[in-house]
Amino acid sequence: MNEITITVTRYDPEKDSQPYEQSYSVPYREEMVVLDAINHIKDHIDGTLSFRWSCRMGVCGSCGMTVNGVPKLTCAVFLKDYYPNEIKVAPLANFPIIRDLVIDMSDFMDKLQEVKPWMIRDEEKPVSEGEHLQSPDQLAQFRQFSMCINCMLCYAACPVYGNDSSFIGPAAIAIAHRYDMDSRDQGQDQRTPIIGSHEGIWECTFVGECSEVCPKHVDPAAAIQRSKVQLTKDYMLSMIWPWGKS
Amino acid sequence: MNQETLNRHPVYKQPMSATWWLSSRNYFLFMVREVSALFVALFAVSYLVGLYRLSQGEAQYTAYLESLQTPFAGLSFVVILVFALYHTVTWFSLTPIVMVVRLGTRVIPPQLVLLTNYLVWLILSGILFCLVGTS
Repeated sequence: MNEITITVTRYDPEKDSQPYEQSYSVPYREEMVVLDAINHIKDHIDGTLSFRWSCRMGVCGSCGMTVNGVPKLTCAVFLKDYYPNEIKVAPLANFPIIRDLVIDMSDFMDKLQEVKPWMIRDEEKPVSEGEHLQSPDQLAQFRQFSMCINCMLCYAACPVYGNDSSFIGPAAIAIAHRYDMDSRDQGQDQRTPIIGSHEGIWECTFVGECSEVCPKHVDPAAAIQRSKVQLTKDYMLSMIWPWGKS
Repeated sequence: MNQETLNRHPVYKQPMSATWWLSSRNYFLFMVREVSALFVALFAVSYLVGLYRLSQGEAQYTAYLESLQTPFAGLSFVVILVFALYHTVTWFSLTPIVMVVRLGTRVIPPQLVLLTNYLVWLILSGILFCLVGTS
């Protein structure tokens, strides 16, 4: 059987002062993805290798890693796209490494909570009054941004976040925009202080790589720029319109 | 990353290389777009100097125009033009992503937003050309 070389980043916080690379030879089959290869290493060659994964089908967003320098969901990258060359698998860039390919995602989780990614109503109506109706056009305004699976590939691709981790970042802003654009939501005023802060949309320089690497075509770069336009419009209107943006 | 987060368990903070922008074609093109702004600013400065010289009188303005006749100045303006065009074209191409124009429930096609930018550019350039050409 043909083989392929998989080089993975190793790091044990109790032994190593910094990460190093370790190569493994893995049986190659055309239908295998990178996640299959590192699972093969874990199951048959070296059980100490640590990494996250769950669904194997591009839904859970757990298996994001850097494959040959590019942030990818390893369950969605085929070995055949690299074979016979070596594949280098590293943890997602810009995040601290806990062990091997496992990164510390707590910064992202904190930021996600900060932007209040849930439906906010001024007053909840009783269930007996029925659902909040929405037209297909209203749905189309935010649907794309609701596809985010929190895989954090966009943070790994964002040099702004890499240089300054106080940046709220692509996914959290895209998800905030998703709720701001939802006709059923009334929470924009609560999210704007976070989104419109210096660490929010204004830190983004529109590199655009977040949208390039997004496996769900969410286009966080678009969400951030559209939020900039929206907040600028709101601000200008509040200056000339005595009763504000609405 | 706040200290509380770092204290939860020992982690290795991945450093960011100073040459990150050379690691991919997209990063490099982004940096070229950013740098192109400097050349646009350079042109604006030379234009402001020209206006200032004009306010000082005809002799000073003529001297300013003559100072731009050197091969170095000519080459500089060619370089500035190339970067200004790159700046304009790359930002125009991003406009449809930023601007979603709605007419009622319909969204104007992104290509039309892009085309409108080029049309306005063409019209404004034409007006300027006529003004300068006829003066």
